[in-house]
Formats: sequence, structure tokens, C-alpha cells
Amino acid sequence: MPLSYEEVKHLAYLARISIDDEYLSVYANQMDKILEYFNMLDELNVDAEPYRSLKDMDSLREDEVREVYKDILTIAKNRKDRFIKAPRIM
Amino acid sequence: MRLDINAYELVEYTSDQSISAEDFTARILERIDKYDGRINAYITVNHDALDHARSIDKRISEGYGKERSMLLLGVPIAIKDNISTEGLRTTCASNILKDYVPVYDATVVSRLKKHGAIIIGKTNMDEFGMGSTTEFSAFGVTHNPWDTDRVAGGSSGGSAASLAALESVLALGSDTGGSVRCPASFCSVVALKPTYGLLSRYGLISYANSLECIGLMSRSVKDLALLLSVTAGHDTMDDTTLVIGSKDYHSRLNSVEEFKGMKIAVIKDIVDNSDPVVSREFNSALYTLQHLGFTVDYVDLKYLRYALPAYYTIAMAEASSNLARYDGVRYGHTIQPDGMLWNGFYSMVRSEFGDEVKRRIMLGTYILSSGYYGKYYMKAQMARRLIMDELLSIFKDYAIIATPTMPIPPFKIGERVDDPLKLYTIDLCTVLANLAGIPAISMPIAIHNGSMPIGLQIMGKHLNEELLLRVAYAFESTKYVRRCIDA
Repeated sequence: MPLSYEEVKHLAYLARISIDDEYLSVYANQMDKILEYFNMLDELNVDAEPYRSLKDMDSLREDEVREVYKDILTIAKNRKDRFIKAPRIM
Repeated sequence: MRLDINAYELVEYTSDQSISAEDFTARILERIDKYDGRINAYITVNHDALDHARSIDKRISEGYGKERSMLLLGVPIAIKDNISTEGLRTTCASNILKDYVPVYDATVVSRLKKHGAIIIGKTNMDEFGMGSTTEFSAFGVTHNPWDTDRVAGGSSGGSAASLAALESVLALGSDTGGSVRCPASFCSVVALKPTYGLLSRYGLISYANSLECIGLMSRSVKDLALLLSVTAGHDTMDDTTLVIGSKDYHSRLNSVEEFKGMKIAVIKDIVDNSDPVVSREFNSALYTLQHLGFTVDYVDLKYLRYALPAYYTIAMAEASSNLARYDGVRYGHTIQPDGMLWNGFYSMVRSEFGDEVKRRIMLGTYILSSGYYGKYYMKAQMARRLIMDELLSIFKDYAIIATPTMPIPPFKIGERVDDPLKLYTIDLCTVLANLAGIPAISMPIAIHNGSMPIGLQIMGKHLNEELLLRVAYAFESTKYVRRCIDA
């Protein structure tokens, strides 16, 4: 089923990316072709274990504080004193 | 001193004080100034490089050079612009980060500095690593030094081009689906994608964190080995690094090594479906490998056809998650938040991403959304596992798997940029190593018509970098192909 203008509009909303209306159909077209290509994965009906990396990812380090960054607040542009300004949530 | 000098030679001359780090660095900066307008390899040149070189010279005059413990003393290195450098702008070739200056160095960068390397600048790339030609940059296209109408490859195109154009001696890149090997192949330089977990990713700005690695690039195999000795090993700041130390990868390379009794597997389907120019040169490279003592066999990879869809599915899914952090609040491009609600604010900030990045984020969002997760992402992870298992079983009988690095020679700028799928298909040979987490080297084997470099890719099993480097070194000593344009 081809990807519709409405679906792409919804995806853009989910990803919080503003896209002009005139471009939504262009994206829909391109994305549709790509998803069509991914459909090849449907052919795989093997019951395989999913990929796991070499490293054991289940171990955690001790909860020790490490001083790492100096001046980390300087990279935020919207600041007021030692606070970072953000848009309203509600 | 020739501009095309290798790092290991330069270190000798610098330590002996036959050349000053300041002089050589100044020459590289002059080269960039005069020549980079044609190539656009660099986004940012490091204006502190000369000061740093001077301090290196000072340390040498105080006796540091004699110890020979700083392996990259005085060597100018170019760093891909998705690797964090303290105080030096890091953009990922995106408008979202066009003014971002990190307050810390990536671990690999601090290791380079500890060994006396001089950061020359930050190189151009496809935005956030998403691309194979360095055409998707907010800072312009990088041109192939061998033919400036052609692409340099990507996403580490700037790094590769800087080496081929004599604008650096060493370079770092990153490799998620072939991003150091592709431009290395297109620019006639050498590149290593190490085993996943061997090099720290701390400071590498994430695109697809289960696939990507820092990649090493140079004009000679010994230089690659030197870079690996300096950068490899466990890092407490990156918990995905394997708990092993670095070792000496560079001192025992032997140009007259023989590989009798060892076997190479060639993936038949890949060679059969490559451009005739590529397969011809690749077959010629196989003769050289046989001359070195290897036996060559053709093998089939049963799950090969799922490699690209699996790779792109996983990469896009991870990208959608990893790029969610760009919300204009803590860093990066932003607008005035006063009076705005977060949905509108985030959406406006994030509209600054380039088209390809937006496409991949939205596709990733779709793939991970409820109802589709099983169809795409789970299947892709299964395909990934099947491909890795198949490759590992080939390694039971074969020392190395060989393919052309790219199935086609470097093409003209603009040729594939409007058709994403057409661009994705050129990654076929390179994504295998990222899916399985295994190491791979690309090395130049020919320059077709003097303007289109062709590369050979050799892959090994996990943590087998030493063997790959030995093979590449012996190959290079037998059949050397130019690694740079004339000065």
C-alpha cells in the first residue's frame, strides 16, 4: 500500500519535523519506493535469534560521580543565569 | 620535505629535528589555503594548529623526541566533522550544529593529541553520516581530487579527499555502512574500519550506534597501523568498547611476508554484479594475492540479498532515535522559546535538517512504530544475525573475504543525488562488515583512465586487524598504486 500524504504528515509530526505541504508528496513518493525495497525482508521466514554484539551489555559500572565537563552550560544559547530556557510543555 | 610524506617518516624527521613541526604544519595550511577551494575537503581549519606545532617543537628541543614514545609527533591530521574536538567547531555538516563548539575531545582525539598529532581541521561529510558521496552536506559538495567533476565518496569524503589532495597526512573518519572505505576507494587512499568495540565512540556524534565505528585513513598501510596502535583499546567513557588494551600494530609489518596455505573467499555474486571495469581490476588484484601465496575460492552468501534492506532498516531506526536529541534546547540551532509550545518549537528547529536526514528520520520513525516493528526492524535484526553467522562460518575455512570495495567507479557529481534508492545500492559490499561488526580494509588497486580510483576490500573475523594489515602491507609492497595527486 503506497505511503499517503496523510501518513507522511503524521510521521513528520511524530518526528517533530516541520515540512511544507508542497514537499510532503515528494517525500511520500521517495519513502514509498524505499519501503517497497525493504519489503524484501518479508521473504525471511526463518526463526533466527536477533543480532547481539560481542560485548556483554548487561553489566553496569559502579555509581560513582566523575567530574568530566567544564563550562557545559555555555553551549546552550537560550539562557537566563544558570538556567536554560525551554519552550512551554503545557 | 615532500608534502606526500608518510606519517611514520615524518615522525622520524620531526623527532630528529631535521624538520620542525611548525614548518611542515605551515606548509599543509598553505596547501589548504591555495588548493581547498577546488576540493572543499574542509569545513573548519584549526587556527591554533601552528601554535600547537610550535609547542611540539619546544617539547622536542627539551628532549621529548628522543624517547620515541609519542608515535605521531608533529603529524598533521584531519578529523571528520562528526568527531568532537574541544574548542573547535563540530558541525556534522548540518545547519543544526553549524555553530556548535564542543567542550570536550573525543577519546580518540585525546589519544592522538597525547601522541603529538596536530589537528589541522574538520573535514566535510554527508550530514550526520547519512550518505555515500558527501553531496548531502550543508557546507557544499566535496570534489574528488582525481577528477573534480566526480564525487569523493562518503560519508567521510572530506577526510579521503584531504589525503589525496595533500591537505593532511592522516585522517579520521567514521564508518556506519562503508563511510571510510567508500571514499578511500574513490580517492585512492587506504582505510580501516576496525572491529566494533575496538575503538572508543565517545565523542563520535551518533547516527546509528550499533553499526558505526571510528575509521582510520591514510596514504600508506603502515600509517594506518600506527593510527590503530594509538587509538585502539578500552575506554571507560564508552561502555561498548571491548575490555582489551591496545597493542603494537605497526612495528612488525613485513613486506616479504608469504601467506602459503591461507585461503581467500571471494563473494561471487558481488563480483558478477559489479561494473566490468571494477571486476577486471579486482580479478587482477586477486592474481597479486595469489602471487603472495593465497589460494582463492569463490563462495556464495545465501543471505546477501537481505544485507542492504537490513542495514538501512536498522540504520534508519537508530537514526530516528539518535537524532531526537536535536531539539534546540541544550545545544545547536535554536529559535527564541518565549511564548512557544514545545511541539511547534521542536518542529521548527528540526526543519533545519537536510532532506536526506529528514527522510531517514521519518522512515526510522515509521519502521519503529507500532504495527511495523515486527515487519521491518525485527526481521532486519534476524537478517543481520543470519548474515553475521554466515560470514563467521566462512572464516572457519578462510582467512580473509575479499570483494571490490565499491561495485562501480567514482561517478559524476549529481548523478545519483535525486534517487535515494539508486544511491543506497552502492553500499552493498561495505555494509556486510558493519552488520557483523568485523574489521575491513580498503586499498587502492587501480586508477582507471587516470581519474577513477578502484579499491579492493578485505574483511577478517573479529579482532583480526593484524592479519588484514599484514596482507594489505604485503599487497602494497607488491603492487603500489598512487595515493595522491601531484602537488
